[in-house]
Amino acid sequence: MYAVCLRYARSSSDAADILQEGFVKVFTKLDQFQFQGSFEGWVRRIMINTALRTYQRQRFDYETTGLETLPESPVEPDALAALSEAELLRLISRLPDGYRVVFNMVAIEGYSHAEVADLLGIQESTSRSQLTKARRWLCDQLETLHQTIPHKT
Amino acid sequence: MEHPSHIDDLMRQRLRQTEVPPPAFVWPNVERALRRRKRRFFFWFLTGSLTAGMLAVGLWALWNQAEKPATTRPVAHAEPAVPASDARPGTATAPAHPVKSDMKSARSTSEPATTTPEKYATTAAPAKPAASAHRGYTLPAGKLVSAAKDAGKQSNPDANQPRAQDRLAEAETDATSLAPTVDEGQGIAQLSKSEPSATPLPIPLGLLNLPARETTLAAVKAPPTKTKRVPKKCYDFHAHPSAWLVDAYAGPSWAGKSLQTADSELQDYLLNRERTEIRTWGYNAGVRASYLFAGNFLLRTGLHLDHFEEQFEYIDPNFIQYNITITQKYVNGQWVSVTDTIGILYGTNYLKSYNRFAMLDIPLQAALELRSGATGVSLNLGGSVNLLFEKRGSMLDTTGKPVSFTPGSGQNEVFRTSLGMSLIGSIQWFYHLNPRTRVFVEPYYRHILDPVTRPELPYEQSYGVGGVRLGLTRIFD
Repeated sequence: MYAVCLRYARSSSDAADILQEGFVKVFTKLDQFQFQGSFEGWVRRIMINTALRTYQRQRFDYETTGLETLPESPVEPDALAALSEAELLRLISRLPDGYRVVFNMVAIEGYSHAEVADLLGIQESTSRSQLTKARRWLCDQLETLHQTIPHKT
Repeated sequence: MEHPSHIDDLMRQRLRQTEVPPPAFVWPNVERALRRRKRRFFFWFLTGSLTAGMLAVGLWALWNQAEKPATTRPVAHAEPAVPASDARPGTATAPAHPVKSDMKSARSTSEPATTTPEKYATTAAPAKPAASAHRGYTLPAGKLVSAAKDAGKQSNPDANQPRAQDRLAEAETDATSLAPTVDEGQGIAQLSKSEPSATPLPIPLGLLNLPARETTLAAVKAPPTKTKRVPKKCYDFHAHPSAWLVDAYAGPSWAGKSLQTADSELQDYLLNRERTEIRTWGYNAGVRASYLFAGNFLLRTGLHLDHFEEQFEYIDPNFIQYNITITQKYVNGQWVSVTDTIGILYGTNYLKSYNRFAMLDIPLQAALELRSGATGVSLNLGGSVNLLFEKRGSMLDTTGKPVSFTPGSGQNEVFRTSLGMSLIGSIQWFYHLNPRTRVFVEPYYRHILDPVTRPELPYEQSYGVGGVRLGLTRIFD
């Protein structure tokens, strides 16, 4: 669960706070678990909601138009393979708040844009544009890292 | 359904199931947060229950108060004049026997008393004009308890007895009288509030030895047994059930400290802390405004200061002090610093300081006040919110070295900037010096809900403060 928090948080200390708050909720609302899905999924959802609430107080600079049609740069699979999970998490944590949240929810957790829009209180088009910008930003960063990191032989 | 791009797939494969162990401090923090939630729940549960209870009792008291005027402040209304034809000559002007049973029977049979004036007739009474025999007033509520005890006086009014008209006039002009008084010798019926009657009870004026009168009787005085006697020194809370009370107080206090940890490695450290920090007496002071409502209930708020000291005493039996000098010397064309040891001291290092803690709070308390004459007690319960938490002094750090915890020292700043909420309970005993001034003694206990140490520390330091408030109260309308 700490990895989930790290993906949504700006820093490791924020992630620790989210994890702590999330587990307090888990323990205090344990009786509300319906045994209808996996317990891990329930805890994960609590962590995600806690992270979203943490950053909801701060306004994201959402852009509603303009970037949906940006062409996506192809990503070299080697560029990703060269990075460890910790480095990938660090890379994601450097994303701007809005990009990071939407990228995590859509690309990794599998939420639809409609669900993201509903959870974050934004428009679907905003969610799409944030995702596109996040992908673009990550591709650029991976490309840069790929060029600077010495290739494994 | 979204169409995942390439980077989404790659990221999901790498990160979806990634596990990273959380930092070790997270779990003790979770445990502490859960404990704090329990304490907070207890605080709000207690405050809520107390407030609800106070409101319920307050409403009950208000309800009871609203019912009282009907019995303690009877207003008599004139009954419509009875036709002269109903009057019978020879009607008595005063009963020859107590009228209680007769009046009861008259009421129970719904028979107007004016129709049976002869019931109360005596042979000793001189005949009066018919009009006076049937002119009467009615009592709006209550039961006739007694009437004239001395029927003989009634049957033979002499010059020493004041005339009933005069007494009636006095009663009418006495606007401040809340309840009727009865001159038993005049045979005026007394009222009791214990048994209200549904319909006005007519009393023939003849019973009162009253002559014919066209005016309405506005009020008569009540039996003195129903009025509350207010002591000379005491403020008349009966007449003023709402008032403002302003308190100023000060007194000694004592702080009880507890140190707790879940980490077994820190147990020795905490024992050393308790050994080196000796608690001493402190003081408390404050000002408080209280709003009294419904006669016995108060809401109190103000400013409260708790100040206490701890004596920090540290003895290091293996103390070694090196005295050195540092000199600049020019060696091989450049300046260098040369350190020389000029002395070594072996012995015991004794360090003593006074740690000071000051807590300024805004209390909010509900109180129930019970009075008896010029004295009384009030039971106070509520909470307080911390405004300021000042601390300065020294303590041992986890390595066993004495360090300063004063904010700004940069050494061991373990205390929180604000204490948050506290639970306060107190019992006040007061005595009226004069109607508007009281002195009081009030033992109190205050429990600070959260530890005073910062939450990320592996141990918790908590306080409970007890003391006595000695003060003065001034009452304002």
